[in-house]
Amino acid sequence: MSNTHVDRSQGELTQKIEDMGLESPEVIQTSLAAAMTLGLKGGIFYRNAKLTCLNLLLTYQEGCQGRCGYCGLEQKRSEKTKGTTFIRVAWPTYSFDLILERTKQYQNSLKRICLSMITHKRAFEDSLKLVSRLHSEVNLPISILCAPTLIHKMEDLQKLKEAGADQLGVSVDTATSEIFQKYRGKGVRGPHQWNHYWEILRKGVAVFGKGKVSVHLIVGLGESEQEMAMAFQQVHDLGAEVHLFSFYPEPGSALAEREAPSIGQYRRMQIARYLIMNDFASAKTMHFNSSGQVYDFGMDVETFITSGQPFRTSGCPGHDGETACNRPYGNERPGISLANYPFIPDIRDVEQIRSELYAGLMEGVEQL
Amino acid sequence: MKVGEWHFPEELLYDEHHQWLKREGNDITIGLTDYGQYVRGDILFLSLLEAGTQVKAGEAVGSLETGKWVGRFYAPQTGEICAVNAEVLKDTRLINQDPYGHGWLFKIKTHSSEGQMHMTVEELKVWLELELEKEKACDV
Repeated sequence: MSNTHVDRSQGELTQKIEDMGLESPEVIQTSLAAAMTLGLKGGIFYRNAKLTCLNLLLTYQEGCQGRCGYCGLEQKRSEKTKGTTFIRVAWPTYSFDLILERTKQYQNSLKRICLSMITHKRAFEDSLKLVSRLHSEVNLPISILCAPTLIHKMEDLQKLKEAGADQLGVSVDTATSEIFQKYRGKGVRGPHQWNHYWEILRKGVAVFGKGKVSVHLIVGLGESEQEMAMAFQQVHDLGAEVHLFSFYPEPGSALAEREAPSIGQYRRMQIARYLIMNDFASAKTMHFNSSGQVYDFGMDVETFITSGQPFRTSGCPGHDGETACNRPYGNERPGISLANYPFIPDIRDVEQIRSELYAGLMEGVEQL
Repeated sequence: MKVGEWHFPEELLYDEHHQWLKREGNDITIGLTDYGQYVRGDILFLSLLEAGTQVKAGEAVGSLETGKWVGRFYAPQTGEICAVNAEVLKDTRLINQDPYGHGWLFKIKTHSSEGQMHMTVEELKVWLELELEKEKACDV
């Protein structure tokens, strides 16, 4: 159970902050899980999961200038649902000083902080200020999830590193340039460009180092499993890591009616990601059916399934090398079937995962 | 009566699932306590058994889901569910906003004494304070 000795007046404070129209860097949004973990919001975690990375998000009255069709921050999202959720749940707003104070108080139970920019003209400079304050006052490693559209020079990335970030995140999100264009670029008259994202990724590796840059990829935006596995390989070959997300239809967004990917598709992508990132296999040695689904990983994966490791949330590590950014129930409703496990799956979980792994596979399973 | 930050009406009875009970003859109205709603978080989804269902004391009679948790409601006593609050099924926020009023959950008609071990507000205070101490020790 999480922080039951909270100060309930914080809820009223949040409302005031939102009403007053305050913006970053004075205020910051936190994930629901972070607010619960810092004792700012009531709530408990299913199966007693523990959040180990504090996720913070810059916030401005003008909002994000991106128009990504699947995103809860998207500008044209219907008025009824605008700002209500981002990645499935509410993101309450607090003064940055309060977050800093609470982070110091709870830092022993945390392993990392992640600050997310949004695409806004002030986001880069504000990120530098906030990363710098966090770095000087809190003894936790810091990730910066950058907004590549705001970044043009290698020096900008260098500044983020010098401010105190040790990991860089680049949310490419889609496995292919076509899907990127459709949901983030020209297709939605959005400002983002596929080639620029990959350029920032390459520059990021040069500045932060191999294994210190992560790429967010979302399964279920219309790509085939083969395309996603190829994207994993491309990221890996550049010296970066893939952190995997399952598409969740945000109410009011352009993709609100689109279904989340099948659990079978997601499980296969989790295994493919794990094998490629850890150099156990390559996308080139995996076998795909005519629908682009992986039916053979090119090696026996039973040991990996039994370990449960491929199915844990993928995210930036803590000082101990273990995943810190475990995002409990960030991709799915809490319940029996979890896309990402915020803890090590137990024996029952592994049995369930095994039964899900080849669900929805259209052909090719008999070739195993 | 207040325990910590949370309010508990003195005329109600309580169980260890953080549910309150109000007895009126053979009818019992059940809801989540102020602490129960707060600790679970903002309730997003709710399901309850239909009126007319026979239930046994301790049996699950419904479920609720918050942003990060899913759990159950329990029958505090053997009987028949005689009413379900349609308002909370439409608007789950009522449970968080008004747990002892518009946020009530369901009613049971009972002729059985099975499952009658419930706490008075004084007993609840002693039990909950111990629980809160345990939580606090685990948190930091």
